[in-house]
Amino acid sequence: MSIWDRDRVPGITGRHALGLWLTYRKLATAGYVPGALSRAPLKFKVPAWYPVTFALTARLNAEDRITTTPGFWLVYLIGSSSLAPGFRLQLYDSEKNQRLGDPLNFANGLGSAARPFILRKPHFFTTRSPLLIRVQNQDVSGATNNIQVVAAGFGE
Amino acid sequence: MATPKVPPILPPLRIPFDYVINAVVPANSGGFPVSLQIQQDADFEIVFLAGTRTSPLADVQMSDGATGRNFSSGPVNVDNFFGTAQLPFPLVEPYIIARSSSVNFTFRDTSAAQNTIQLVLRGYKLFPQQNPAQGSAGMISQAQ
Repeated sequence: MSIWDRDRVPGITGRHALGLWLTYRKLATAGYVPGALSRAPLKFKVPAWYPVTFALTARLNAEDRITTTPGFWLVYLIGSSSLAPGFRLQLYDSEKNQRLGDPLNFANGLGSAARPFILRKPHFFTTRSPLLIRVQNQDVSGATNNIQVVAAGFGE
Repeated sequence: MATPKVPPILPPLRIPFDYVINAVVPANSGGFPVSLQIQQDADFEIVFLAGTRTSPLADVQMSDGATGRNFSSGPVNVDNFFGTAQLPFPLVEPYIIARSSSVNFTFRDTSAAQNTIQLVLRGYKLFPQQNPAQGSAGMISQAQ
């Protein structure tokens, strides 16, 4: 099937498949990225990165929220920790009053830019200030752990 | 024999192209600006972000040169912003930058040493199918 065929999905203008090839997934890429229907609302949107940064010493916890533009599609979850023990993470959608899962080790919830965690169904926020991010430093050495969580996606 | 279907708007001719941003960020620099000028011949479609850096203790912020609009709410750690050629950061929906426009980058360093950063916007120049040498004259970004 030609990627240039504009009628691959009835009613949806065809888009080429560029950008959806994950080099580490290869032919299984389609199982790890949003499908054509889920990508349709992202058309003409502007990529946006919303980072929150924490500097925490041993076992401390903190929370912060991202302030998006109205109409933001969350597509990627990315994060980093300067110390190996990492941190625990919980996300809360304050717009819909829903926890987005239980607290988990950041390596199980976040990727990096090289291997981002990509939501199969992008999550939509209609209002500003929707996503609350709670973290707990897992390092016990007393050194400062520089933590960054990035909610990336597409907005208006 | 069925006649081939001709779409109302021909898809653009995509020519692979990389825009490269080189920055030698001084130690502990609080804001090292670098501007990228998109060439005049064609709109540019960003598909992948790739790059290299001396130390991961650096941040980057990208903004639209015409409007000043930032693409992020704050500086993003370089390892959370771009990947490598083997593992590039993919834009699930490619983003098109109009020709002749500029994109500004501001780098910060927290490594206490000079940080040599190369950021690459990997993607495609978009030319009209019927006249690849002419340039898109902004038609691609307006029509799509």
